[in-house]
Amino acid sequence: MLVGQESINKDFFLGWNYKEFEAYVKSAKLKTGISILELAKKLGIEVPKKEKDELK
Amino acid sequence: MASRVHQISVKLSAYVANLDNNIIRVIESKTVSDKLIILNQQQLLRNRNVDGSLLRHESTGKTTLTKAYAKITGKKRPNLFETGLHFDGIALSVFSMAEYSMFFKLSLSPDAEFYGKFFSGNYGGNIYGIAKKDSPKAQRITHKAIGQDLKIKVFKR
Repeated sequence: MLVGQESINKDFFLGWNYKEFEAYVKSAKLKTGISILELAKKLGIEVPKKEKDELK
Repeated sequence: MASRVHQISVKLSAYVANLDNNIIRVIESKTVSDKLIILNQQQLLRNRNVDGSLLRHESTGKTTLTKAYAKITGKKRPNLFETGLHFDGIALSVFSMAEYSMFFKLSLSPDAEFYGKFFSGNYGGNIYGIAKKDSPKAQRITHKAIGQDLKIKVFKR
C-alpha cells in the first residue's frame, strides 16, 4: 500500500536545474576533458585522480 | 584523450536520454529509500508531521495522548513509528515534465495496512513524507546518490 503522495521537483533530486543539465549534455560543451570535469564537479561526482589527469 | 572524452560524452547522453528512469531507479534503490525512510522515522520520533507541527489527534484536537493511553504507553505524545508505522521503500513515478510523485510503501507486515489507515484517520495525511526541516538533508542524500550512479554508469571504463 502506497501512502503520502508528495510532488517533488526533478531539480531537487538532481541538485541542479534539469533543463540546464540536459542542455549542457546535449550541447557541444562536452567536447573537452575540462568541460567534462566541470560537469562532474557540478553533479558532485568525484573523478578519480588518474582520470582527472587524463582529461585535463 | 579525445576518444575518452567521446566515450564519456556518449555515455552521458545516453544517461540523460533516460534521465527519468535513471532517477527513479536510484531513488527507489534500497540504499537511498532506506535513508529517506529514516528521515521520516526521525520526524515521527520528534512527534511531528511533515510541516513541522506537533502531531494533533483529529478527534480530540490535542497534541498529547489521553491520560489513560499515556499511562499504558508511558509516553506523553503519540509516537507513530514506535507504535507500528513502518515502511519498506519509496515509490517514485513521473508526474509531469519537471515533477515526480513520491510515495512511501507501507511495510508488508500484517499490521501495516491497519496502522496506515488508522494513523491517517487520526492524525491526517501529512504524517508521511519528508519534513520541510529535513529537505536539505534529503537533497544531499539524493544528489550524492545520483552523482555516484553517474560516476558508475558514465565514468567507469
